[in-house]
Amino acid sequence: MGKAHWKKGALGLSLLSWFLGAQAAGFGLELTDEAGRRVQLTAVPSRIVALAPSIAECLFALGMDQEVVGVTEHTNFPPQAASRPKVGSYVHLQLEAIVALRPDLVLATRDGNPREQIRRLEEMGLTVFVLDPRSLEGLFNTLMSLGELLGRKEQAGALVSRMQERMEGIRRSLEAKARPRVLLQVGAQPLVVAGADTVQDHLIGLAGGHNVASSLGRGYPMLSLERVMSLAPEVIIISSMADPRGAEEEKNRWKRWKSIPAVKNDRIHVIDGDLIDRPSPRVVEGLQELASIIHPQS
Amino acid sequence: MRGVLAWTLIGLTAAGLSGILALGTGPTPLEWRGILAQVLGERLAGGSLDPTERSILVEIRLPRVLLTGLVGMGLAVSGVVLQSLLRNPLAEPFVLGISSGAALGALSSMALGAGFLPFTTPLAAFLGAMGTVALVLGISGGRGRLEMTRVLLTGVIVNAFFTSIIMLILSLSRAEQLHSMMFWLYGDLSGARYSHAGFVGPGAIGALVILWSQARNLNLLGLGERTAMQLGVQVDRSKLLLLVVTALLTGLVVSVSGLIGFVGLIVPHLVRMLLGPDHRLLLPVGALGGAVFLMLADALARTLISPSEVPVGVVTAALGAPFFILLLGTRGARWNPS
Repeated sequence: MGKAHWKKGALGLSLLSWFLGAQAAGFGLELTDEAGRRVQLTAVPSRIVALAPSIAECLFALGMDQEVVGVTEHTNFPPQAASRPKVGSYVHLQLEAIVALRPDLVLATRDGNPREQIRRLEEMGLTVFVLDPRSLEGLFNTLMSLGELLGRKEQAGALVSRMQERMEGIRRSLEAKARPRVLLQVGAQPLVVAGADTVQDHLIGLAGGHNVASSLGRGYPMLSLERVMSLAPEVIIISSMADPRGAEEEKNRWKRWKSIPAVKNDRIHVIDGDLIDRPSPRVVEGLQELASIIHPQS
Repeated sequence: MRGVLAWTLIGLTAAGLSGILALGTGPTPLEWRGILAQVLGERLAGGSLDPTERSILVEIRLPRVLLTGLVGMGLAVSGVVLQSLLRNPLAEPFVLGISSGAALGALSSMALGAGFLPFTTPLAAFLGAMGTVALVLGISGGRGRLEMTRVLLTGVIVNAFFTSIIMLILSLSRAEQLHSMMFWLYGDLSGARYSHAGFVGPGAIGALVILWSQARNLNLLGLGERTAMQLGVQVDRSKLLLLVVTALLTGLVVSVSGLIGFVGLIVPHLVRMLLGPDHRLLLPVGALGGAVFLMLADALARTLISPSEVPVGVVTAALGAPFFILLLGTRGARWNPS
């Protein structure tokens, strides 16, 4: 949805605020958030509520340990983020709990948080900045605008270049290798996989694999077993949702279907879903893990 | 009718007390004196709230408590009328398919991504409910006369049909949408706004007044349609009016609250056990009883696993069923629509 347009806007904006920052030391900041709305800040925020686990991860990665006063359920990384006061789950926020924390900045996600609830928060006078990282590129942009917003431009810049370097390193080391056919399972019953135009699809590519489900359409298509057999994946990767035991069971379920190359060659793997589903700096670790699953020898 | 006045006063007091109790419940502890000062004015009660606390009280809890009261009232009154009209102790507001019509409207609007405009979901739900009412009455009243068994059966079938479409929408929806859809289906009051109360309030009060004005006719209809006719009731006209107004009332409250079960079934039975079959008494007391019941259930829903909340429909059923069984045991299972 207008990604190219968004990027251009972000670039212009970072130039502009670079200039402003040099002039006015970051105060009286006005930025456009990733939903295209103007957001004004009078001071560097010191009480932040992060309305998604991934946002909390980004904030801690930028060294904002002290400023995060509220997080959503399932926030589990880093461990100290998990013990911050909870304000409901990101799909069903507790408005009262958010207001009671008296935040000077609320960071929301465009796709996950209910828009009606975000609107309510703004009506009650809270400053809400909406983030919308939909790709790795988008995640870098998000980290940069967070740096801008929170007066941590240098940390953000350093973090992003570290991430980019590691990713580029992984990509380059696998570039010349043959690309195994990979299927990434995100849901078990019904069987849901990562299709084209998803972050996971991009990660599989960087990790030297070919996502067989990319031919099935964008987003997260549902698949029948029959279809999986005709796609003949050589590697099946199960993204675990919180429960590793469930993932092991899932792994066993595949064992019956010996005609699938991945099953025959015992190449069914489980990966911690948090590493590849969340737009957070840990996605680099997710990529590393995908790479070692897809290319175990290197 | 001194009984009506006395019982209504008791009901109003209970509703007021439950309302204040509900205002004082939530994840953030607020001082009672501050709440009373805000509600009654600072001269009557000392104490005050800081701006954040006031915002929590006035912008989050108060609209929710008001709306909860209205919804509970509407559901209970619809239940009272439908149980008598359909002469069926299992009747409740959702039996005519209104709930599934509203759900179809609400879920369609969510699936189409209408969430970024305020008020689209309630409006879509209301339109869905009204469409269903027209459909059910159109099919069942086709031959001129409104036969209640026919209305009931049509409602059940329409309900089943719409439920299948709802399940289709659910199975095709993305995970993020699914959450808000499920919450809507369980009954969710967390999105309450003053504008919702403003949308529901006048209509609901109006419907209550109209239904109350029909209380005598409802009493007579309970004696059987022929008897009622001999006693001067315009049976068909009266039945149609009661049905349409009840359906409007249900559609109205459901559009802002989702499907909160059990209130419309249990509260009518409770007041009937308590007060007997006279609708002049049952309607106002049932209305207030519904408000009290739902306000208390919602207060509980907000505190049980604070700061998260349980869908209020879960609480109404979990709380209502055992209480109801207890009452059945002590008072005996008598069903008498008239």
